[in-house]
Amino acid sequence: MTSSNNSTPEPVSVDMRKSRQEKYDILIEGLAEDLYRFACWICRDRVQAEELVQETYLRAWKSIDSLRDAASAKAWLFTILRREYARQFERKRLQVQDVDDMGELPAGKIGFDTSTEAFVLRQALARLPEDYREPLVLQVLGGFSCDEIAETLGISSSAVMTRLFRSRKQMRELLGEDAVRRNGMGA
Amino acid sequence: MNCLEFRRISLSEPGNRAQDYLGHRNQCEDCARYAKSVNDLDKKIENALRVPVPDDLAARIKLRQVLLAEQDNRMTEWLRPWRFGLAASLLLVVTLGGLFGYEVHATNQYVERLTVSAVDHTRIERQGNHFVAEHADPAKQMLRFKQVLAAFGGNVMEDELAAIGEILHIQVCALGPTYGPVAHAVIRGQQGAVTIYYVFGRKAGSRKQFERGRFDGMLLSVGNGNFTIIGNRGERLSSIADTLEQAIVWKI
Repeated sequence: MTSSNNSTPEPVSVDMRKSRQEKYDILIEGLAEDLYRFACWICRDRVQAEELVQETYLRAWKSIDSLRDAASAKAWLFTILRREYARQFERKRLQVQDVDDMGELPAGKIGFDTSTEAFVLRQALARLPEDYREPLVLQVLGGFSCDEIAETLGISSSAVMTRLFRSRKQMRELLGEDAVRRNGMGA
Repeated sequence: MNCLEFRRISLSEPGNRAQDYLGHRNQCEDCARYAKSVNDLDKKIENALRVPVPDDLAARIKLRQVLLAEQDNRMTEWLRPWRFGLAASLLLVVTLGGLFGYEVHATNQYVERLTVSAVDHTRIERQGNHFVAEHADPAKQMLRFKQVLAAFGGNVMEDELAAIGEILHIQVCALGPTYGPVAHAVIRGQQGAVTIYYVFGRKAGSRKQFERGRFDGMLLSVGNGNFTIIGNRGERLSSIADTLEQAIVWKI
């Protein structure tokens, strides 16, 4: 079933016969924005997010010869970004754990929509267990298929589908979506 | 494909294009509506997370590739972890002594600033009289109150909260640059409108009353922050604070 998922945007096409620099440029032009938005979500800070994206690309440059399959370029870059984040910011994240627990998002600082509805949505998302939240963000924000998410997270596609199912179910519960529909209060 | 299987796929792959999935959606109105609500929620999440990307991001990545690759290697060699460890230890010894006194002083200052900001915000709100225009369905107001407080880590028990009276207004707003997002509610009190803020931050400790201008106020520390309750003189603030304390369970 996962292979039938067609929700991803236009895939980035990397011609593997091109030179290192050409391949690298395509990866930047095609994926830097998606990476930046994902980095903003996990770092919750624009400056750190940009730093993380730049580090990710530097690492990608160093190991671009190991990228053999053009179709997996996006998942490959996101995997590097996640590892780089874990390496660089894990200590910092632990230090600000209290703030994260409180659900405080420096929305204005990041440039997020500051409306009440958007705030409530982000807080609901922040309250999901990390195992459920990350696949959902990768799918909704990054446009990844289940197979790509599986590759990025290093788990099976069926496990990804289970997590996505549970994450959306929990989001609907947290936001009262099902209750609203049941009570006929929704649009 | 039956409805249960359809909804399971809807929640895990809303963009699924398999024939049997699309076929079921075309045949079953309930499931089509359900799939639409899932897609709508995804769109809202995407919009809530979408941030503007700097125009020159790509250029800076390329520049960094050229300029910093070598420098990064040299810095990595120099920035050995033990140097930071030593510096951090020294800093800890020096600062620990003054920390306790500072903590008490900082809490008092924080409380003072918070009450001033809250009263100022309330004064402006009353001048505008924005909330009077709202005549929303009480059930919707209660749901919105629950959603907003849930975003701050509070689980509202509706039956208990009903004692607080009519909720005129509830939103997330900015009280000032110091405080980040703030839950802001207005309820109908005995002496007129009562404004309630929930602000993350340094906890004020025990319940504190204050008076500023024509307002009475009360601070209630719960969860990871404080409620600041502001009403006209003679308002039943203690009773409102009691209700808030009893009706909301906090995730700490």
